[in-house]
Amino acid sequence: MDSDHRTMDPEPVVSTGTGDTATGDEAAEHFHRASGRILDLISTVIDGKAEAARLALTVLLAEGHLLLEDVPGVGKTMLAKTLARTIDCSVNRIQFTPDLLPTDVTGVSIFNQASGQFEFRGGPVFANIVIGDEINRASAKTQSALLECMEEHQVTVDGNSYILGEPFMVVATQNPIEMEGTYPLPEAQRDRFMARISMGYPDTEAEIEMLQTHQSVSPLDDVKPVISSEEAVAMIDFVRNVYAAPAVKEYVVALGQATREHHQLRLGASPRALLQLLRAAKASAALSGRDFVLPDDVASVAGAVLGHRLILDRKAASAGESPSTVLESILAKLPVAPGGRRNEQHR
Amino acid sequence: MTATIPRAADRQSPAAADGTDTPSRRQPVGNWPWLISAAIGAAVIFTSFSLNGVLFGWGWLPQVVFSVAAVLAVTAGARVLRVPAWLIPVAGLAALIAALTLLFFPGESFGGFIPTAETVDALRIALLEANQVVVNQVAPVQITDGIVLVTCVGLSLVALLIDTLTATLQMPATSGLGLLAVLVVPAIVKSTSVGAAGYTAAIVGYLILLGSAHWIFSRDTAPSGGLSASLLDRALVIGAAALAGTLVLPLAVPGFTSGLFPEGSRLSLGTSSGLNPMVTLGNDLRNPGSATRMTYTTTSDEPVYLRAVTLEHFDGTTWAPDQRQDRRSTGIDSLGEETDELLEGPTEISTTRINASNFSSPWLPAPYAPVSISGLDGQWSVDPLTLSILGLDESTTANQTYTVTSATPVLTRQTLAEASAIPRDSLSEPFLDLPSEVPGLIEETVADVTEGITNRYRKAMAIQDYLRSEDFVYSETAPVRGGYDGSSMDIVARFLEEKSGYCVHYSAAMAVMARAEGIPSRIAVGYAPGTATGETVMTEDGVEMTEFEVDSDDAHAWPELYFSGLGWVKFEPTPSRGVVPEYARAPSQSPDSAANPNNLNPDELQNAADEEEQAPQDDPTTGAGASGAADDDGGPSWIAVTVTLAVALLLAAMPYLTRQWIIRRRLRLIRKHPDQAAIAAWREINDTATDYRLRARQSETPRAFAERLRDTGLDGTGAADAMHRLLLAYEQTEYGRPRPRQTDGQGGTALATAPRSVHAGDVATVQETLSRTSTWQQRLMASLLPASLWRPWRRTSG
Repeated sequence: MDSDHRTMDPEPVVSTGTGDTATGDEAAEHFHRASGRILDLISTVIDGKAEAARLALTVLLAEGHLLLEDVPGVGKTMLAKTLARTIDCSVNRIQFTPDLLPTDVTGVSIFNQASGQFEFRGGPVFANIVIGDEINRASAKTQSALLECMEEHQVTVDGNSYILGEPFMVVATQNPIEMEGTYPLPEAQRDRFMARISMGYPDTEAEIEMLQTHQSVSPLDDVKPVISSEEAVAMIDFVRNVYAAPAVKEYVVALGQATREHHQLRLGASPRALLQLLRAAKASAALSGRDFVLPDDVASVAGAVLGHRLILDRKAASAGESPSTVLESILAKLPVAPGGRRNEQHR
Repeated sequence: MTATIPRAADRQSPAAADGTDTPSRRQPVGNWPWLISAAIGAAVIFTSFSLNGVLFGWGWLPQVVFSVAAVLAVTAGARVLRVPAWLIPVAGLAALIAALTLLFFPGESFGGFIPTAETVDALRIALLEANQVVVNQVAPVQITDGIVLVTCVGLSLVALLIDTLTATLQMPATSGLGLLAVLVVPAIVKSTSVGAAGYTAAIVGYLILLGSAHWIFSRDTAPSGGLSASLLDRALVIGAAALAGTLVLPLAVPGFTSGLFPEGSRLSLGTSSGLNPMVTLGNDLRNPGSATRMTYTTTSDEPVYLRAVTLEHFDGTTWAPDQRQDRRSTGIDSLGEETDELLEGPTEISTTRINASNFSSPWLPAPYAPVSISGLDGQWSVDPLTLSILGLDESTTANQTYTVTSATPVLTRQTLAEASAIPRDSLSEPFLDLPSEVPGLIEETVADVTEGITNRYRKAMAIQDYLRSEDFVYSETAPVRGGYDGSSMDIVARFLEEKSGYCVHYSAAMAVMARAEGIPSRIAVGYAPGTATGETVMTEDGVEMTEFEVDSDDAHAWPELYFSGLGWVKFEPTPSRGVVPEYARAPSQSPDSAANPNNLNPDELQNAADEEEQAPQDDPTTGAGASGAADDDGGPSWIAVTVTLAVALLLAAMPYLTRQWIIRRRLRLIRKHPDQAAIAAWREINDTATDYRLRARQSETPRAFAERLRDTGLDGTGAADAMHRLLLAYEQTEYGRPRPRQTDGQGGTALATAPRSVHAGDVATVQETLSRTSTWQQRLMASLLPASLWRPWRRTSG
C-alpha cells in the first residue's frame, strides 16, 4: 500500500468527551472533514449508491463487520474494495470457494528448517480490511474460522494466538442463498456481522453514467487513500465517545424487546445485536455531525443492523412479509422516550 | 393563539429579566396607565348603552359613569405608583365600594364614603328593592336606586375585570369576554333590547380598547401603529363569540322557549314565587311543559276558580297587589266576619280541599269568597277589602293541604241588572283609579262599545262581548313578538289595536274599560278550574267531592267588577279560557259555546280543557319551535342571572385563559432561563401543533415531527428555519451530553457543547405560521378549546 499518501494532519485526534470545548469541536471538525472525503471518493466510483456507501462507512467506524448481500454483478465487491482503498491501510481479498481450507484464511505454522522451529505465516486475514468474496460458497468450517477472527480480533493456530491489527473489518459479500452452490450462513454467524446491506440495482441514470465512465478504465485505479489508518482509528475513537442519552438506550432496548415479542417473528434481536445497533447509531450520529445519538439515528440504522438477524415465523413468511417490513411496523409504533434531563426543572 | 404582547416590565427593563433590581427598573412608567384606563372606561360605557333596552331612560348613566371612572382612575393611579400587580384589583374594589357609598348611602356612612354597619343595612334594603322591581316589572324596568346600584356594581366589576385582563395580564383581546357579559344581560332579559345600535356601540368601545392597548403595549417594538394580525384574529374570534353568545345563549338557557329570538320570556331561577303573579303568568302559559301544580277536590257544582291575589293598584304602568299592609288583619280566624261584610246577596256554601304540593307562593289560592280555612300552617293575613290571603314570615303554600269553605254569591242576570241601579259606595277607591291620561283609543273603544247603554251590568256585558268577539284572537306569543307584553295603559291600547293577546291583556283591557265607565274593577290572578281527573272523594259527611288537577297552563287572570249589594263579580273576557259564568253569558249565546257551568260532568270539563289547550295551537304563532324549558314559578332574579352568566362565561373562557397563561409562562421561561428554554419552546410547539390537530405521535421522533410540520405548511417560510433552530436546540438539550453543573462563576467545568440559544421569536413565528395555514374553524377551536389542555405533554410521565 502507498504509505506516503498522508496529506492530512497525522496526529490522532481524540475526543475524551470531558475535555474542553475547543478540543471537542476540533475533533468533530476533523471527523466531519474526513468522513466527507471518504464518501465523496466512494461516490466517484459507485454511482447512485450513496446510502449503501454511508452505511458501509458507518459499520467501519462502529468497528463492525459488513455483509453485502445481493445478486452477482451489482457492485458488492466494488463497494468493498473502494471503501478499503479510501483508507491508507492493508487490504486483503479472499475469494471463497468450496474447497478453501480454514488455514487458507487464518494462516499456517510452517517448520523452518533453518531455525528448527515452527514459524507462523499469517494468512490473508492479517490485514486492516479483509474482503471476503462470496463467503457463502465456502464450507462451514472455513466460514467459522473467519467468523472467529471477526469476533475475537485474533487468530489462534496451534494453540498460539495472534492479535489482528486495528482497525480490523471484514467486508463479506454473498449471493442470495437460493443461488446454486452456496452454504448459507447459520444465524449464529450472521449475528456477528454488524450490518447487512443489499445493494440493489442502480437506477437508470446511474446505470447509463456507469456504462459511459466505466467502459475503458476501471474507476478503482484512480482511487487513492484519503485518510491514514491512524486517522481511521481516531475516527473510530470519536465514534466511541459519542454520547447516548439514557433515553436513547431505553429506545434501543425497547426496540429489541419489541422484536422479541412480535408475533410475526420467530427470532428477535439478540443483546449483541442491540450492542451493535447502538454502536452503529453512534457512528451514524457522528457522520451526521453530532456528538450525541438521537432516536432517529437508531431508526436509520435499525434496518441494516437488525434485518439479517430477525427470522420470520412460517405464517408471516408465507404471507409475503419480510423482516424489514416487520421492523418498519415496529418502529412506527414504538414510543420515543424523552431525553435524560426531563425532571430537573420541569413540571 | 399566537404571540402575546411582551410584558411591560420586560420591555422597559431587559435587565430585570435576571431578577436583579437594576436602576433601569426605576424608569418612569409614563402615561399609559391613564390611557388604558380611559380606553377601558370608554369600552364599558359604550357597551352599557345596550342596557337602555332593559332600563327605562338614561337616568342610570351618570352614576354608572361615576363608579366606573372611580374604579379605573384608582387602578391607573396604582399602576403609576407601581403598586404590586395583585394589589391593583383590590384597590379598584375599594374604590368601587367608596364610590357606591358616596353615590347611594352618603347618609349612612362615615365621612360620606366609608361604609359602616348602617351602610350594609341600607344596601340590603336597596338590593331587596331592586329585586322587587325586577320581579314586579317587565323590561324596561323603572330605574330606582336599587336598580342603578346593581347596574353600577355589575358594570364596575366588569371594568375591573377588563382592567386586570388588559393592563395587568396584557391580554386586551380577551377583554371582549367582559363586554360580552354586559351585552348578554339585556339580550337575555329582553331579546330585542340589544339592537344594532347597542352592538355598534359595544364594538366601537371594544375597538377603542384594542387599538389603545395595541398602541400602548407595542409602541416600542412595532414600527407601525396598526393592529397586528394575531390581535385582529383574536378580536374577530371574540367578536364572533359575542354575537353567537347574545343570539344563541338565550335559546339554551331554560326559560326561553321558542324561536330564533326568545319571545320575551323571562328567565326565572329557583322556584320562589314572585309577589306579582301577573309577571310570570305569560311564562306559565307559554311553558310547554305543563307541570301539575295542584290538585283539589270540591263539593261545588260550579267550576272553581282558585284565586291567589287581586290586583287593583294601577298606576298606568303596572297592576300591583294592594299596598295596604297596615290594613291587613293578621290571622285567618276572623275571615268569616269579613266575608259576611263583603257578601251582600244570597250565597252558596261549598267546601274545597286543596293540595298545593310543589306550588309555592305567598298568596294562598282559594275559591272566592273564603269563609274559613283549616289545615293551614304558618302565619297568614287577610286583606278585608279583597279577601286575598298573604303569607307572613315567609309562609308559603308549598306542600300545604288545606280546606277552604267558601261562599259563592248566587248571581243571576236579573239581580245584577238590579244591583247596577244601586249607587257606588265607599269601596270604590282605589278600584276606580285610572291615570290622568287615558289613551284616546281606549276612550273611543269604550264609548263605541257601550254606546246607548246605561245599565252598568249591561255595559260590563257589552265590554266582555266585545272582547270575546271574533275580531280578537287568543295568542300567548303575539304580544311578545309585537313587543306589547304586559298590562300597562299603553299596552292595553296596543292590545285593542292588535286584537291579539292572552288573559293578561283581556283582563287588563276589561278592567280598564270598566273603570273608564265608572265600574270599580280589579284583576284577579290565579288558576282556571283545571281538568277533572275523573276521581271522586267522599267527605266525612258523605258528600261527593270531584277531583281536579291544575297545571301551569291553567294560570289565569280575570277581571272582577264590583256591584253594590252583590260584591265582586267575576267576568270572563278571555276567549277559550276558563268558564263564562251563567250570568255573564249573553242570552243569545248557545249553551254549547262554553262548558255548561252547572254540569260538572268530568268528560265535558275535559272537553273544555282540551279546547283550551288546542286554542293556542290553532294560532299559527304558537307552539312553534318550543323547546324544553324549566318550570318557572318564581320571579326572575337579575342578579342571579348576571352572576350565573358571569360564571358561565368565565368557565367557558377558562380553556382559553389557561392556554394563554401556559404560553406566557413558557415564553417567560424562554426569556429568563436559557437552560430551560429549549424544552419549554419545544413543549410550546408541541402544544400549538396539538391545538391545530397536528399532534406529535408517540412513535414520532422530534425530528420526524418537525419534518411533518414542515410538510404541512411551514415549508418555504421563515417558520421552517425557526422550527429547525428550535429542533436542534431541543435535541441538544434532551439528548446531548449532560452538562456538569457549574460550581462557581469561574472555576466551573465548561460545557460539553455550548447550549444553542433559543429565541421566543422563533416560537412565535412557528405559532403564527401554523395559525395562518389553518382553517378558521381550526383556529377557533384552537382558541376556545385548545386540545393541548386535554392532552397534556405526553412526556411528563418521567
